[in-house]
Amino acid sequence: MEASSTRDSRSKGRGHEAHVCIEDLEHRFASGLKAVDDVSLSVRQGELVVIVGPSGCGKTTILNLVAGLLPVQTGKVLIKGEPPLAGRRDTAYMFAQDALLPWRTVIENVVFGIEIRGGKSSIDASTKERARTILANVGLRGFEKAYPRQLSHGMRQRVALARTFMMDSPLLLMDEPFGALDAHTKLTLEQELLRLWEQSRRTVIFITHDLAEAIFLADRILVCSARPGHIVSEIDVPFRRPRDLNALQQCEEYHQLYQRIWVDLSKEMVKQA
Amino acid sequence: MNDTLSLSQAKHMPKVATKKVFELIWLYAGRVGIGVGFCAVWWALVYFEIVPAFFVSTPGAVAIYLWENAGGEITTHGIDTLIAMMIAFSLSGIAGILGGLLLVEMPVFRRLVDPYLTGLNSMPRIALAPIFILWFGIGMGSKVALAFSLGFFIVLNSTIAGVRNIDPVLMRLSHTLGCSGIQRFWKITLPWAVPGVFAGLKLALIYSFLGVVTSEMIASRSGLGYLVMYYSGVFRMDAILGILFVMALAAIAITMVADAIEAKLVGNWTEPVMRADVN
Repeated sequence: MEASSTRDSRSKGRGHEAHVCIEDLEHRFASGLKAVDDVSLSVRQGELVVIVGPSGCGKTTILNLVAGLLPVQTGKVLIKGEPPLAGRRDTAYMFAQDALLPWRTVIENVVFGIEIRGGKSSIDASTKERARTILANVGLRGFEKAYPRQLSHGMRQRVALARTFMMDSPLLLMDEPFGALDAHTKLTLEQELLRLWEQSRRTVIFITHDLAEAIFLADRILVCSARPGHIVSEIDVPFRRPRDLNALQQCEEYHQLYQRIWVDLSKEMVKQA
Repeated sequence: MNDTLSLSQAKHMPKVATKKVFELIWLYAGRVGIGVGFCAVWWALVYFEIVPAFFVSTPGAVAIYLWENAGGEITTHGIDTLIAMMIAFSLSGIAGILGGLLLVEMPVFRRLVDPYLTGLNSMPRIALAPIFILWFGIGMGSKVALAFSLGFFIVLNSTIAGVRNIDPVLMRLSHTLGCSGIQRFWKITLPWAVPGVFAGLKLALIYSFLGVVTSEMIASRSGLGYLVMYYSGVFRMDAILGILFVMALAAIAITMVADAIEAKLVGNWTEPVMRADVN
């Protein structure tokens, strides 16, 4: 409960079951700006880790390094013991923007990742059936043949969520995927994400600046400092799953946890300003 | 369409449909009215001798010229113009799209030739007409060349613009999915450019027409442009106005066909949704 930042979970995570392992990572942009400073973390198989931090603290850079979109300069990033590589089949990336292809229908967008990775021949009847199931899971039954322009912002992000889960990648990287949504839509999508995740436990690294979102989703929260980003504290979220946001709101521990992380985070926000 | 949209439409269907029909009738009646009104004013100006008929002819004379020649010289010369236009348009389309894609895929090459393209494109085309006539002779060749010199650059530029304004997040997606270069080109770049290319093609269609007619007016032995020059030499205002009228009709028809093709091909993903029709 009273999880301190030096809990033994970190060392436990460094064991053989670590899915993503980052050691002494540093990253500097071409402009000389130091974005990431001495970050070490490890994520267990099937764990949902949320990184919170002030905007511009280098959270996205960490994710891009794990995804292989940026070359690792100093330090080590290992995914199942291997260095990252852009386009790895075992990694799926979801952005704040929906990144849907406007000329494809909803269902064609959902299978797009599979089509790229497995070729057109991999889209058979059973793949389509699975896409329909996932769409129904995110509340989009009956919208398979709609085009993205016909959908609201929240619905488009649901399609992106479905596309991400469709790919069966054991590692999901999510870069503020619900950051651009209104508060209500955001809550629904968070619940849908948890439902999909509980059906097939993938390893998730989720980035946000929204504390409530972090506590609702995470097994473990890492608080990132102001730039250059490093991890200032690590908090285990003890609440049992499946979680219910209303029940959490009633619970004293939730507010204590929120308060604690908020103190850590606001110190960093002051530095940023 | 999706279920909810069609459901909401079904509920309001009868009311919306009749309202739409009335609006359409009004629209077309209004359009015809403007034309009729214009002709009435025109006729009155001549009838009350405010303007001499020699300079502006009369609606009646124009109608008679069109009636007598619609199946004759207007059709034969019109077909000549149309053929030259379609050849020029096809060449501009193919060369413009291929050239545009090539320049986008080879940025070094684009930087090399960019000033030359800008220079060529900014030349007044009428000044080129005498050169084309020297090179290709009086006839189909010089007409097509002038029209191509207009259409090619339009398609080229719209293709380049269409590809270059591609949403960066789609490029990011393609990297995270591990797209090959060929996949990126066929599945993202090319479809993304289609609406932009289409806009360029539509413009090139009209400019091919203008280019051909211009060339015909400068030197040729056939085509609608040639007819206009011929009749202006013999002061046949009724014929000139009649041919101009036919040209305008042709341009409208061409645009309508192009719009219909565009709506069919890309309309379902580019047209904005009408959320207002649920009232």
